[in-house]
Amino acid sequence: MTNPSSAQLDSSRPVPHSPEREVARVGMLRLTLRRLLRSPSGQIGLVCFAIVFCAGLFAPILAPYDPIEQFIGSELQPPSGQYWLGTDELGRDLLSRILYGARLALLVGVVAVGAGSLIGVSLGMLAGYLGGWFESVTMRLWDTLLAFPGVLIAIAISAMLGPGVFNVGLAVAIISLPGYARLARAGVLAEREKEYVLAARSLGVPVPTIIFRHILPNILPPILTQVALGMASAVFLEAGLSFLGLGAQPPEPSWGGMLADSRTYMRQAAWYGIAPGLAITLFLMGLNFLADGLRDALDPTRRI
Amino acid sequence: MVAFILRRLLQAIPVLILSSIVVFLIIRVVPGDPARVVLGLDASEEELAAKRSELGLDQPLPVQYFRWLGRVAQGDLGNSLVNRFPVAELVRDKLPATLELAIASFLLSVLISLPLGIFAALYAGSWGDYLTSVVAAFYLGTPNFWIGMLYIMLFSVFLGLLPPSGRVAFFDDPLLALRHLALPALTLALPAAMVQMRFIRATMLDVLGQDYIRTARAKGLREQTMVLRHALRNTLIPVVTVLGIQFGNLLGGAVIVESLFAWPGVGRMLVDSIGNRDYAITQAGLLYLVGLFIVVNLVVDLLYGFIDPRTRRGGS
Repeated sequence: MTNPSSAQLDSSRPVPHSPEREVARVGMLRLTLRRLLRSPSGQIGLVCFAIVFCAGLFAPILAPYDPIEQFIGSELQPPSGQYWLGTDELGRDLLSRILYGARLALLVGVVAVGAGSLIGVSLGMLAGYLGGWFESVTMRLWDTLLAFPGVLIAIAISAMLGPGVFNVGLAVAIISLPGYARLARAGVLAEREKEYVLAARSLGVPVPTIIFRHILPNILPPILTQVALGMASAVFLEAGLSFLGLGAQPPEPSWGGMLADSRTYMRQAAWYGIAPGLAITLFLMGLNFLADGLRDALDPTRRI
Repeated sequence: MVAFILRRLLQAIPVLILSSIVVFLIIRVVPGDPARVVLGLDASEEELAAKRSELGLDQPLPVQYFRWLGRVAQGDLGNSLVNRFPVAELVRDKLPATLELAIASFLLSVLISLPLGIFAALYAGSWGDYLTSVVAAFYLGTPNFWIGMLYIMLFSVFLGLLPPSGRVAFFDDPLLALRHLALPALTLALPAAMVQMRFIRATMLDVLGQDYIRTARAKGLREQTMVLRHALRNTLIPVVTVLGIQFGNLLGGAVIVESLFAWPGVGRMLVDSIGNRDYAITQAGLLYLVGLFIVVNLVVDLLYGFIDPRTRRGGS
C-alpha cells in the first residue's frame, strides 16, 4: 500500500492535477494572485488600477505644469499642443490637475480602506472568535449602520467635521466598517473549530496570536475583494462629495470638484467636464473589474 | 404574521434611536457656537449666554437630546438659523419633489430592468446578453452625476430637447413637468436599473434550472407560458427585496442628482444648508431622508414576509 504522504513528497512521480495540492503548494494568497493575473477581468482591472496608481505616484514628473498655477489669458482653452486637455476657467492646466487628482483619489481610497479594513476586520474577527455579548453588540451596531444610505452618512459626517479630504476618507471608512466586520466574522466562524486552531489553542497560544497570525491569513482572500470594492466606493464618494463642495476644497485638484466647476461652462467648453469624468470612470471600472477578477479567482467551485 | 410584524417593528427601534442621536449630535459637534450663528458677530457675551440658555445649550447633552426628541415627536424641528422660517414647513414643502423624483426613477428602473433581465436570462450567453452586461458595467462604473452632466450636454445644450434644470408641479402643466422630470429621473434610474437587471438575470437563470421548470417544459408547455406563469413568479420573490433596497438608495442618490439638476427637493436643501451652515435645516433634512429610508426598508421587509411566508418564522 502506498503511503500518500510519501507519494506527495516524491516530486518525480506524476500526480493528477489537484487544486487542493496547488493550494497546499503555493499558498492561498499566491494562488489567488496567479488566478487573478490569468482572468480577463483581473487583467483589465489591474491595468486600469496601475494607470491611475502611476499617474498619482509620478504626478510631479508627468504633469507638464503646476496644478494650481494660473496662466492669465489662457482661461478655458480647448485641448491643444500646449495644454493637452485644455485649461479651466482660471487658466490652470487640466492634465496636470487630473494627474494630481489621481493622487487625491488614491489618498482617500487608501485612508478609507486602510482605516476601514483594519478596524472592521479586527472587530469582526474578535466578534467571531469571542462570541457572547461582544458579538451581539457589534453585530447590532453593524446592522444599524447598514440601515443608512452610505451617501447620507458621508454627508452627515462631512457636516459634523467640516469639508476636507481626510474627513471624506474617515466618513467612507466608517461606512465600510460593517462590510469588513461581517466578512471577517463569517470567516472566523468557519475557521474557529478547525484542527489547526484547536491545536494552537491547546498549546496555549495567546488569543491575539491565534486570531491574527493563524486565522487571518486563511480568511484574507475574500477580504481582498471587499478592499477593491471599498476603494471603488471611496473614490465614488470622494468625487460625489467634492462635486457637492463637501470634499476637497479649492484650489486642491479633485476630479469631483473639477466636474462641479465645469458645469457652469457646459456651453462654452463642453470638453472641460469630459476628462475628469473619464478619469473617475476609468478608476471605478478598473476597481470593479479587479473585484470581479478576485471573486472569480476565489470562487470555491474552481477549487473542486 | 402579527408576531412577524411586531418583531420587525422592534428591530427598527435601535436603528431609529441611533439615527436620532447622530442627527442630534450634528448641531452640537460642529465647530462654532450656534448662538453666535443666530446673533451674529456683534453680539455681547451676555446676549450670547442668554441665547444659549434660551436654546437650551447650557444643559447637559442627554437633557438636550431628550428635549429635542420630545419636540421632534411633536413635529417641531426648530427654526432656520438663517431666515428664521419653521424648518418643518420648509421640509414639508420640499418633500413632494424628492418623492416625485424617487418614485419616477424607481418606476423607470423597473420598466427597464425587468424586460432586460428576463431577456438576458433567456438568451444567456448570446451577444444580446453580452451587450447588456457591457452596458451594465459602464453604468455601474460611472458616477451618476457625470452621466447626468452628459445628458444635460446632449439633450439640453446640443439638441435643445429637454430643460437642463428646475421643476414644474405636475398639476400645473403635466407635459412640462414630465419634460423637467425626464433627465433627473433617467440619471437616477439607469444605474439602479443595471443592478436590478443583473439580479433579475441571475435569479431567473437559477429558477430556469429548477426541476419544476424542466417538468413544465417536458409537459410541452409553451415557452411564453412557462416563463411568465412559472419562472417569473418565483423570480420576483427575491427581486422584491432588491427593489426595496434600490428605492432606499434612490433617496440617498437623489441628494447629488437634485443638486445637479437644481431640483427643489430635500436633498438639495440639505446640501445648501451645509454650505450656509444652517444646521437646523441639515438636521431636519437628514432626519426626513433617514426616516423615509427606514420606513421603506420596513415596508419592504413586511411585504417580503407577506409574499414569502417562510420568512415570517424567526431565527436567521
